[in-house]
Amino acid sequence: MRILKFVYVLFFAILLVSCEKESTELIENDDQVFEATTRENTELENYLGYNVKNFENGNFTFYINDKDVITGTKTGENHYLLSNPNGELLEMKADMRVEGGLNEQISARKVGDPQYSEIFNFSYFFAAAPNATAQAANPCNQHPAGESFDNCFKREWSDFCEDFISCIAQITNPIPVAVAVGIHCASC
Amino acid sequence: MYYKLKYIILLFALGTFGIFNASLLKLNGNPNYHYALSTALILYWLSIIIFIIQNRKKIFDLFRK
Repeated sequence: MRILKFVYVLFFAILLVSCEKESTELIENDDQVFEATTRENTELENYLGYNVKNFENGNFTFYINDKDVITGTKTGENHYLLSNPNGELLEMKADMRVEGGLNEQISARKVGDPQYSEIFNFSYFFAAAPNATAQAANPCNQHPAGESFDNCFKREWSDFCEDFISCIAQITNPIPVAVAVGIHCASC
Repeated sequence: MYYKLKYIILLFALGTFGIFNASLLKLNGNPNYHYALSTALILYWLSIIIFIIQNRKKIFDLFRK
């Protein structure tokens, strides 16, 4: 009977801690969206499709509509130099407000142009490509183009531990998790 | 209540395979992977706990020697 009680307590404890996190939680304490993305394993990273490791080195990859890839480099506070799929170089600036949700205005101009023009509203992007739907449609879309198996494995392995239940699984059962990561990377 | 070793091993294998499957779910972006992972972990740890409880005397003796 004592064992049964223990199992029940364990079960409810795991259920309680494995609740899904609100995506807004991830950005409430951050003034800038791009600072938020530098933290590993965030929902926001999944929304935007940034390659966090590349971003930490000053470069990032940005997916729009799950297929168009934009690569960029951070050139200053909230300023980025982008190369769009047509090969054009764009200067981009990001203004973010957290007012009951995420409200981000991203403006860009061609290099040399005097004025910025808004290219998209971040909150709209949020609604258009929610995390679960976008990922479930094709999980490989999140992978940077031409990523090697080695890099993919390292990235997915370090990203796996993003909540309590995943961390416990990864720590206590590294082999099944590693096999799953390997299969996932090999199939993308 | 005594469980045969083969059933404990079966539970352990089920838990391990469940963790593998739940990991694949997570990597493929399924937002409900928590349920699969929690269940698999419960099976995994349950098998270990049952094994330890049933063989506690042998395990204690092992450390005593």
